Amino acid sequence: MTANLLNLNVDTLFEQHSVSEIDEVHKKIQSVVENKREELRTHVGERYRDLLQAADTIAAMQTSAGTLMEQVRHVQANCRSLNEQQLLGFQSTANASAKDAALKERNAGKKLQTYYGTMAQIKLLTALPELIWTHLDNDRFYAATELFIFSRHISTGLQLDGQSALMQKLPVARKQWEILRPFHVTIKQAILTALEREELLQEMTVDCLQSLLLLDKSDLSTVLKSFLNLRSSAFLNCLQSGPSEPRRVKDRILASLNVLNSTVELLDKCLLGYSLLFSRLEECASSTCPPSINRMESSERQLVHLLPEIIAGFKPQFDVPQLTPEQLGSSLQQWLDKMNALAAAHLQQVFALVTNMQTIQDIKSAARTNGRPDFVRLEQQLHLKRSQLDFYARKYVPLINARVREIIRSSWASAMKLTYEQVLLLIEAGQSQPPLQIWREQSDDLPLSLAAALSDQPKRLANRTKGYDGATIELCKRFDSHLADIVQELNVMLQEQTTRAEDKVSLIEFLRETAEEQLTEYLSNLKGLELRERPALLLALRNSLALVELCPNLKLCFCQPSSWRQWTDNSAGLGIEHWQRICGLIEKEMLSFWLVIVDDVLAGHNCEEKLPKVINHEVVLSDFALWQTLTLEQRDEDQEQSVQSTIRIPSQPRLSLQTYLHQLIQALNSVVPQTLPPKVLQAFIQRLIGKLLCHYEGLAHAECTKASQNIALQLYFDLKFLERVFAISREERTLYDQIHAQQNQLRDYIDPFDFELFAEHITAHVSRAASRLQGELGVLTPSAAAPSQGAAAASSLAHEADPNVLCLSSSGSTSLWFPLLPIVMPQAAGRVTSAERKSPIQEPVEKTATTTPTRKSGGNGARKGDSSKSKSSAASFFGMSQEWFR
Amino acid sequence: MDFPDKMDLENERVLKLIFPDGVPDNLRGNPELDNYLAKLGTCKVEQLKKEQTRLAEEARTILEQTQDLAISNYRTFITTAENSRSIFSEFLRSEQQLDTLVSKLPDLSVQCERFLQDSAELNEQRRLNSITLQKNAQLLEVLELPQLMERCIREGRYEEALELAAYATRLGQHQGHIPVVTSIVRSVEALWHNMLVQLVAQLRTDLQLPKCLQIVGYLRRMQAFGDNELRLKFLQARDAWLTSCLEAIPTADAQQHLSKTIEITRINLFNIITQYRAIFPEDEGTLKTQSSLRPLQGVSCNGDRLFQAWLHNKISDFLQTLERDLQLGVGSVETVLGQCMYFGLSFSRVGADFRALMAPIFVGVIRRRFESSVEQVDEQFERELERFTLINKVALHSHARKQVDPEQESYAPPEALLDFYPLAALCNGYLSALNELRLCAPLALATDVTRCLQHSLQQAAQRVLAFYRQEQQAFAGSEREAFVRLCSCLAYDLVPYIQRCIHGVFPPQSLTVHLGISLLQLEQQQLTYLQQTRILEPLKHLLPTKALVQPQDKVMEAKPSAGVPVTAEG
Repeated sequence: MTANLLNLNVDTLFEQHSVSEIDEVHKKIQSVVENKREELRTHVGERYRDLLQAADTIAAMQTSAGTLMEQVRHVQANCRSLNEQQLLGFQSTANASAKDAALKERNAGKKLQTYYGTMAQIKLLTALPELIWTHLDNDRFYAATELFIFSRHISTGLQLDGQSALMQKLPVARKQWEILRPFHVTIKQAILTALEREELLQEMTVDCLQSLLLLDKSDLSTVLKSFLNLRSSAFLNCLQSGPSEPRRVKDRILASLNVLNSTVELLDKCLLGYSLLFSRLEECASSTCPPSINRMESSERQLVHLLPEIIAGFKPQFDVPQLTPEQLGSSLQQWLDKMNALAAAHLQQVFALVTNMQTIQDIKSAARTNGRPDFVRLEQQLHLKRSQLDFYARKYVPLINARVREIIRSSWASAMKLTYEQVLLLIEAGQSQPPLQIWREQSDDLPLSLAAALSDQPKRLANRTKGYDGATIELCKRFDSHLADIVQELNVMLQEQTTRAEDKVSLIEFLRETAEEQLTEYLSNLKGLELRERPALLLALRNSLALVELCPNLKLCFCQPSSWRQWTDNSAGLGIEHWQRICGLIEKEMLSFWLVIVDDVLAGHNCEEKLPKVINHEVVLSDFALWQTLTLEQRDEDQEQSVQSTIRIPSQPRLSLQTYLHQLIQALNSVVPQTLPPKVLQAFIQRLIGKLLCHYEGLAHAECTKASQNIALQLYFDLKFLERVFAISREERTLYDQIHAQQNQLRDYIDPFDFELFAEHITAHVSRAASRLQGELGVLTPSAAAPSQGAAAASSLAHEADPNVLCLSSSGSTSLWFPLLPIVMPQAAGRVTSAERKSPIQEPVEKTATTTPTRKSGGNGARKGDSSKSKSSAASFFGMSQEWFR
Repeated sequence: MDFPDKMDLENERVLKLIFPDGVPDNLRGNPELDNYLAKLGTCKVEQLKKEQTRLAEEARTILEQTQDLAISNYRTFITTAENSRSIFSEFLRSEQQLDTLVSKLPDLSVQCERFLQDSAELNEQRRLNSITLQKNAQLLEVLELPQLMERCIREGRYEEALELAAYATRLGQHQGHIPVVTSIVRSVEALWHNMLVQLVAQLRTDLQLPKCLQIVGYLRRMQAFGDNELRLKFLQARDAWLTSCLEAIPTADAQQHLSKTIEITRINLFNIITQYRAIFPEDEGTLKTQSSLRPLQGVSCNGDRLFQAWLHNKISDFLQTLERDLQLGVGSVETVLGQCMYFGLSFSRVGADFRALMAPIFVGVIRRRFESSVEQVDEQFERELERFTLINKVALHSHARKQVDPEQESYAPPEALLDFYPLAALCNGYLSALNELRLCAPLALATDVTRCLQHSLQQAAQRVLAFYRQEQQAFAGSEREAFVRLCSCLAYDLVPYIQRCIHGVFPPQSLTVHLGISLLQLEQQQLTYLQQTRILEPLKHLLPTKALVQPQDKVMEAKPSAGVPVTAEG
């Protein structure tokens, strides 16, 4: 129906149905519409309601949450109050129970009380061993001692009552005492062991001392001595390293120092004046001190009401000890004396095990950190000498300083010994080594970069000018490395703040003294070798000199680095002075080596052997160079006419002298290509001139010298030449006087008038010869010639007509020709033919001989004499005669 | 005042009538109720009758209005519902998206921070790139330093190369922490080393003084060597050049080798010496200053005389070469001697006059050559004498001696020797040796030559005696006579002639001048005089009888008279 209504057509409705049916349809439709409207309204209303409900729900949730939190707080408060109530209830219950029990016990009968008292005492004896062991394990020695005394007291009381019937039935008391009695020895041993510990606290010390007083009933003086002896043992134990756990040297030394300082401090705090020990003794003697039973556990303390009063109120009794400062001082003095002996015996041995400066510095730093106690007040109270108790300053610092010195000395000795052995090896190896080729270029001569060229590293090319090869440089590098280590370690010591300035200064001085001593020993050893071969001497020389030049740290050992100047500002000059002195010593020794070499060279080239011993005419012919002929013009006073005279004077030293000097220089260059040092050169020159002057003195006294004026002139020239070339001045008086004496002696052999005529020219020739030879003899001459002399030598070339210094009697231009014989063979026909053949051959020769003198004589007309012309003409004529005759 | 009270009482009475059980709670306190009661009070009875119907009608009207309102606004309600639903879903989505947003916000922060960092880095890089672009030219200059320096070195512009090296060094000191700069500095250092090698290599070439000064100046500026090092390096390099020049000389011909050696040594060594003295002037003040500062100055080799030692080595090397080449044999000793003496004299200008050192070498060589020649002559004489025979010997030239004037034959050999070939050959040998000697005859060899000839003549006499002993049994009368003439020729013709020849080569006047003695002393000393008595000792018993000795005595008397005139010294 409903479906039909929905599909109903309004137009057909009025045609098919009546009015009443239409009204019913109308009513139905109206009903449906109303239902729809209702449904729609409901739908819309519910949506809004849901929103409002949600909001309300959220608000309700908030309210519920707040309520819940409030309730939770209430629950917590209730729980807390509940707990508190329960706890209070327990406490009150316990206290009440205890009191009730006590009251009940006290109300027991007298007989029962006696029985219970005995049982309680036995109970105490049973519990005491464990308690004593506990205290011993926890190092509470006085508590253990007190309990032991308490147990002895109880046991004594019980034993006195041993005759009673009750005790007969209870033998456990006696047995328990047998168990407790050995505690006397055990406790004492533990106390002694504790006093031997390295680290000992004040409370521990007082506890031990108090225990000793109570245990043995001994006086305080005896206890003090025991204490000090035990500290000595602790000191020794610190120094010794046990096999079970080896300790480092540093730790042992520091521990020993700590033992000494702590011992004195303990004496100060525990025994001197109103100190800790006496205060504790006073506390034990006071009336407020609790009885010994208070040390028992609470379970035992509950039985105190059952005990007799003599047991319950027991306290240890002490005699009031008296210890005067004098007694303490005398005991301490005895102990100090003993400790001095022990330290002298054992401490030094331990210090000998220190091997480097870092350990020394660690020791000093640790000592600084631990602090050095100030015992000045204590020394005054005990009337001891000043600084008697400063163990570090009195005992350890000297040993530290001695050890530092020993380390420095041993390091230096090791480095020096190694270097010396290396030098010996080089000397042995150097015997067969070829000499250095300093004129040949090496691949490593050129630096690789500007930085390398400018660095302070030794350059190979510079070292070659000094004769230092690779082995020498390597040797010096290693030695310098050793010295650098020593200086570095000393620098560590000097940078440390704990050391006093005086000690630092003394260390620096010791380093210098050690270096000086070691170098002196090195030089002595080197000298003791008595080297004689040239290569060995040169190697020893160069290696020793290189140590000074190539090892900068060696100088630092004498002249302090800048970082040390703050300590040695007053004695910096002293270091430089020492450095110069050691350099002087090395210079002296090296000079002696050089002199051996020099003497060897001179012995190998002795002028007595090289130069002719006697100057006879044959020697004059071979040894004298060509003299120069001078033409002088002098005016005759009478006739007033100029007169020409010809003189001959020497122009060069003797050929043998020049050859000798040349060979000598050649020998020197082969031995020392780098040329001799200045001082050695000076000594060499002195020796050389001495030998030459002896030789010339012999020549001057020879008979043949007097026979010829020429010989005297040449020898005079030689001496003047030597004087000039080797710059023999008045400073060398011996040589100067000797050479001038010989010159004067030779002048006596020369005609005075001739000498007056020759002197000026001889001097000029000597100067010229010296300037011409100063380059060649430059290796031997003391100083270089002035450049002006070079110019003079250059200008003198113009005056030289003939460059030949060899005296020639004839030469190609002036000599005559010896014609040969025309040889004829004995056979008639053949010989005649041979003779005829030879004749044409000889004819050109004769013609050449005839022509050559003419051509050459034309070039040297001044030298050609009349006799030469006549001889030549005669030869030519004779040749023609021969041909004509044949 | 009375009226309000009445109204209240009446209202209460009416309410009791209407609501006997009491006013409902929902209506209590409602002001509308009072207003409605007042309105009811004003109504008539008809109106009151109709009031219930009217109320019902009004209720229905209101309901209809409500329905109309609902119908007319149903779209609005539907829209509201839909909007509510959509709002709810949107809220859910918003919440979800907010959750997503909240979860992604940290990531966003991180990304933003990263973006900021990246932006900052990019800005920094951009700034750097901008700066790089601005300083591009300067950077290129720095980067091209090695190439520029290499080009300067290749072109020989060492001045600029040194400046570049100094600049690179300073750059390395200031900016050494930059790896690029470090690599540039390292490259420049390598080039610096190459420049050093190149400069030192140039020292090994033929250099003139200005160029040499320039190169050493560069080396000094490079600070590659200390002073002694530079001297040694200079001498090493120049020595290498000189040595290479000398080694390049061919050694096939000793004469040529020696001549070339003299020439090269004279020129090149002189140049090196001049260059050294110009570049390294001697400074004594510096030496004195140094000696006071440095320890061990007196005993330490400092290379102060390196140059003198080197020069001495060079002279020694030359002398060794000279001696070796002279021993190998040169054609003309005189030529070599002259060349060497000029060489030595030229070096006297630089203080290296080594002429006196060459003199013994030449004297020794000449002496050995003469002695060798004489030895050959002796051997030849021995061989010829063995083959000699006296059979059919006739006197062909005996009369010639009588005819010839003695003065004219002073240096011509005696023709009588031609009768005996061995003697003639011996004489010719002596003359050849003396002719060779005369070209260069040092006075130092006067006694040696005399002694050598003395020895040779003695040996000749010994051999003649041996010949006589061997052949005397077979001698015939004519042969014996011929042998006597042989001995006479040897004793009275050959020996005096050789003596005259010796005095020809070494004139006594020259000897007296050189020795400073008189001729009488010269003769007394027997300098350059043959000891004829010793020479003729083996043949003494074979010489002619007293009649022949007498003419010799006359000759001997003449010789002392010839020596009587003494040349006066100037």
